[in-house]
Amino acid sequence: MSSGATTERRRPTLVIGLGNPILGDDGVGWRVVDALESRLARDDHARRSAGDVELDLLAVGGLSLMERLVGYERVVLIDAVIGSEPPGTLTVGSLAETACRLAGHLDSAHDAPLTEALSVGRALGAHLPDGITVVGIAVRRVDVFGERLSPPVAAAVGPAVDAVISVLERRPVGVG
Amino acid sequence: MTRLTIDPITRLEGHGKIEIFLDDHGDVERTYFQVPELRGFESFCVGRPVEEMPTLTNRICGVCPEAHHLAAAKAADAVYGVDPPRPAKLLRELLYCAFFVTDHTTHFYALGGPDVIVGPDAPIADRNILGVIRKVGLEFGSRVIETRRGGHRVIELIGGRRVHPCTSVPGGLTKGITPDERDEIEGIARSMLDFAGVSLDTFDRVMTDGPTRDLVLGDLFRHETYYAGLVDDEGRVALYDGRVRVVAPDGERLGTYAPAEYRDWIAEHVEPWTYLTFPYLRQIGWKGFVDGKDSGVYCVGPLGRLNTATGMATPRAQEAYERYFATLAPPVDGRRQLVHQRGASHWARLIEMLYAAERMLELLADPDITSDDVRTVTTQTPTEGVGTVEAPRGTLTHHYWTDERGILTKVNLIVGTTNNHAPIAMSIDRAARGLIRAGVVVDNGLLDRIEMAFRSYDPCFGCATHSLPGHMPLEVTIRNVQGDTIDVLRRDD
Repeated sequence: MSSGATTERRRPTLVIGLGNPILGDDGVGWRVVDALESRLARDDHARRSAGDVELDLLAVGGLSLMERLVGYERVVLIDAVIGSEPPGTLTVGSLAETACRLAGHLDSAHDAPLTEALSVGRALGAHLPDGITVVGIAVRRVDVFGERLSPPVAAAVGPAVDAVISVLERRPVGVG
Repeated sequence: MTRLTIDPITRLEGHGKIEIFLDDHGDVERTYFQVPELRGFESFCVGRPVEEMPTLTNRICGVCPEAHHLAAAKAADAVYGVDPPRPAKLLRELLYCAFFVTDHTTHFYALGGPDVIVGPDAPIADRNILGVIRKVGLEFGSRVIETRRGGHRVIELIGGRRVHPCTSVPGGLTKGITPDERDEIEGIARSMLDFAGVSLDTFDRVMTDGPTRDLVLGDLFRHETYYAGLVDDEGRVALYDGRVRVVAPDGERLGTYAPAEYRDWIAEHVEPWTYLTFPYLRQIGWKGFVDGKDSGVYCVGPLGRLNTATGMATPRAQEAYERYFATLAPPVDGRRQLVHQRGASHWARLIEMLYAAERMLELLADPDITSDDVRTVTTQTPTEGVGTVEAPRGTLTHHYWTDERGILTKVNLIVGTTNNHAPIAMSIDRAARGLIRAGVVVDNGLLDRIEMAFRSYDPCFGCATHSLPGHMPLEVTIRNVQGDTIDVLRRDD
């Protein structure tokens, strides 16, 4: 990675929806990125605010997620959060602030947690973003297969898109 | 009885809980391992067209989507009674071998490897992939990442996408590869082969270390069970396709069956304390969580595959296979012995990595590999079908039933880790018994050894229980004869 990563052209911003799209509210990160894509396609103001941004949907954590982040200046992760807040509650913070509260998608038990994977990448000379912001959406259940979001979580998709756009407007973002 | 619970099993999927009950003397009476189960996968699938299954089932879990993709594609082939053309089979196997190298590399260096390479007695803070890189050097660490990147590239070239392939359909593939893509894959395969060789050398070096040797060879993690795995026509390890062979703990062959006959061979035992089922050999019967030839418990995965087969189909892997058996289980009175030490799985995994890389080069040398003839059109009315592959963590079976339009009416999956549930439960129990004795203070050393027992199976409860991708928090609770909690162990306590 060291050689490949450092010679790679640095790209500005990557927004990733995390989660499992067939596990109900667990897939909310994907829905937010889908909605963001439509918003950017039809709303010039939002597009100008967001700047040069690339979108992706992922169901991997750990090393695979770290490898996906190589070469970007900054990254916004959108993920389900399991906690005590009512479903649909939004939180925005740096990776360090929010990592432990996410639905587990940052980590891969098969390899390493994202924070450890980022240390590995950096130790090996990969260019990884300093600024990783997490937009979290509170969910209650992520243990039943299904493609539909629960009503309070579905209602949070629009506000989450606004939150992502406002994160993208702020440059630079806080250090992950 | 007294009771004990362990939490978390780090570096594992899902959430787990271990309860250990002690007897009047403070010795282990019984251990229970529990993971929560996600629900509704079958009802989620029923009513969908069967051709969606290869892309749908690879969403079950982020760890081995390639295995689910191909098991689903093979089951869908069978549902339509269609035999894919030879080039399609070669390409699927090529993708699969690249996945095996990638997955085994990740396990060895990031998950199981820290115990073996950094050493089982090293501080827990050093037993992670960073500790491995400190031990083997930055350049070597880069090769781990490079191997993963190469594997993902091959999966993208053949499977259409990195990580979650989408090109396998009933009857074959939606696309082949060009000669240029073939050449690119060959470069990656050569580098993988070299890396697999270097990894085996590294393993040899760390095996000279006492604690690592004990971990691999020690009796703490030894179980004499049956073994099962796919073999080719000549009885050698097969990953993408073959028949399932079952061998007894003494090496005697119980039989070989076609994957579609799995229900004649495998039954599932249910315990009241967990949603997980415990598959066992129907012919032998369920005798509880016990070793031996009279117990129907069997083990799959690298250890099972090497025990089940009589060799490897490529030359360097065969050489490594012979050395593995000569070292760990030399013949007795001319009779072949099996390797029962669970810690040897780490070694077996590297031999498979070498095989998969060598096999990639063989497949790439076949003139059919760049053929455009990659799909047989389906003409039969769909009914029912079984698809089986060897996932890195064990035999994976998908079984589908459809109506005459190909709409799913029933789905059954037996994933690699499910096959290993009973052996995993037994290894946890063994570790607990070895480390908890009357008067012996139970501390994080216990948690550590139990986790090591676990990791040797490379379990992924992500799909075994349909649980979430993520860390696996494990809690060990120890309870006394009255059932009162006397200790709770968690990582980070």
